Amino acid sequence: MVEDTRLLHTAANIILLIGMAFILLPLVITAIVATQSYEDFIAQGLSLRIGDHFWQNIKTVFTETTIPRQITNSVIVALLVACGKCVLAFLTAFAIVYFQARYGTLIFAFVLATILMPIDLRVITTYQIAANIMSPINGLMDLSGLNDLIERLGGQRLYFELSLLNSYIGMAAPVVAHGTGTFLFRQYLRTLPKDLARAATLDGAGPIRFMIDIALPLSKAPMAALFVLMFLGGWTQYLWPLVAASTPDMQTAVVGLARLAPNLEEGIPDYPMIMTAALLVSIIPLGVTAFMQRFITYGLTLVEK
Amino acid sequence: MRTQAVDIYLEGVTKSYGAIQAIPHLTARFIAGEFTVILGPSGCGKSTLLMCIAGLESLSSGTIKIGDDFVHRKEPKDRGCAMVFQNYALYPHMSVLENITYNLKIAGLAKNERIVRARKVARIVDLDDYLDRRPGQLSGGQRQRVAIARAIVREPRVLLYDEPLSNLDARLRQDMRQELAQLHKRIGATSLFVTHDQLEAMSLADRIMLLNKGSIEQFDTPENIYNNPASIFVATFIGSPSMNLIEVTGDGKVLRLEDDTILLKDTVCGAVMMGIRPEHIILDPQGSIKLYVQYQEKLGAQTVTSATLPTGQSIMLTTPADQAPVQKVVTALFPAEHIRYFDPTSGVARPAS
Repeated sequence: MVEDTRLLHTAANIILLIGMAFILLPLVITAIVATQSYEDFIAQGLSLRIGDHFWQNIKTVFTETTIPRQITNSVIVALLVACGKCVLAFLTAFAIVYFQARYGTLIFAFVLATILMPIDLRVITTYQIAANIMSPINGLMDLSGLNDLIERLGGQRLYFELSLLNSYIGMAAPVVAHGTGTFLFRQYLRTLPKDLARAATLDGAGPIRFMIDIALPLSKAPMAALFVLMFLGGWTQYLWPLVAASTPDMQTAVVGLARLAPNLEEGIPDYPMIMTAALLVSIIPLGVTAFMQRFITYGLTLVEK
Repeated sequence: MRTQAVDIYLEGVTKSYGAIQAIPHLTARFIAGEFTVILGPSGCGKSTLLMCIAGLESLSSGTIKIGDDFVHRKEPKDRGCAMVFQNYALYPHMSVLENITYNLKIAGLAKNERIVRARKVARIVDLDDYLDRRPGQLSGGQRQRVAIARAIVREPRVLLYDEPLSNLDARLRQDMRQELAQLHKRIGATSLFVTHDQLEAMSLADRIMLLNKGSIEQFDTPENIYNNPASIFVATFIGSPSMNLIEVTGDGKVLRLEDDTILLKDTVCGAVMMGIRPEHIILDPQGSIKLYVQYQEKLGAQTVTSATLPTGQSIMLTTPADQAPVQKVVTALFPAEHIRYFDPTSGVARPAS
């Protein structure tokens, strides 16, 4: 049996190593290309020779592209998304778990249904709303006939307009409501003893006080887990920031990175510089992942439960 | 620290969840300063009753009066009740001191005052050295003491206990019972203690309220509940092994078993349920009742013998270990002063004749 296990271990290790190579190879190529100069790259094509142009490339990224500015955008948007999701998810879960709302289950079902409606699916409608978040009110006023009345009285129809496009709020808000976080907190809060809320009630703590003094401090770990996962999610989202931000200095880093490669008809793009930018863009999520690793594992196990 | 003890009146209290009636109709008075145990099988509504008094559950109808105040419409915190929960319900992220003083903090007491009062109750429950610890660093018994300290620190008029000892092991439970009894003497608040453990009820209670399906079966002193059970339910619920119940028929002179065997002489007439506690059965060679020994449990000081009557009905008798029956067939006496009669259909006790 001992031999068998060892064989199994060896086989498992080999498979894992192959998998690692498969994942790491593109990253290694990225890193190597980032050290080469444009001229070398044109002359040699894709080669694995480490060049001496890395600092030069970094300088180029900082002086000639909007990537640094876009990294700041990404940080802001990712923070907004992560904070927004945590706050909203916690509040929703708290309400569902601790208030015996008559339609609590139904509300929770709706919240979960948002998981089935990712931004990719509703991008056009979301864009329409973001272009003028007052449009539902306008529509409602038209439908209800209120606008006809106003037109008859005042001679002019009312029309509100407020666009969130090309703003940080606009880039974060549509993805903030998300069922997974609510689900995570709901599962977690339900594992807390029921008597905890009763004890707090007898101690004189109202619902808000109970939330701030007891439920929130006890939810630190899932909160951190959700925050990390959602920060990474906010950082890497592509479609919505691409649509929502129209000027380069409002775009996020991931979008900006894609924009660095122009059409191939205009000549071979400066791949060494693009690869350098890609490395720079990865530093923050990489750091967050490394720093908050244990929370990520915790969060994932919690979701699986 | 002694609080001003007050009476609690429940008047026509009902509680239902949808179509399910947890408490059909309950009227009772808990006397000021008494330690009342609310006892009953699981699902009898005893915890629900406690939650209603505390204000954690609303009443369907009826009134609750604590002292001179009608409280059934008041917020839990304004009722002057404190509660000790089954699973302690301590705040895990707070120190023992913070746990004990949380309600004082909400009530707006200054920090110095809070600490003074926390130290005072910590001394009462023997927790002086643990005020900086977290609940997770304490043993089960210590956690329960924190929960008690948290309840008594605000000097409540009423102390409510919801099966507080059921998570402790047997040895600790006995120690905590004694501590609770002493604590009650010291504090003197009107106390209600919910449990399904008759031993706890018998040892702690000034009076026991025995609930069955949300209604009071008997509300009396432990002695009376044990010696004069008001119904068959009480007779079988209290005592371990429980009271023997034998169906007999009386003709005014003697009581006969179903197979016409004469059991004993009494003037009771008609079909009745006769009850006798296992320890009251006397083994006597001159006895008139034949018992066929089936099985014995030797518990050290006592021996519990399971035997059958001539009709085949099994009865239990407890004897001191050295007086346990050794033969297969023995004769016994049922002393008249220990025999109780119940109505076989309604289950209600017949008054002593």
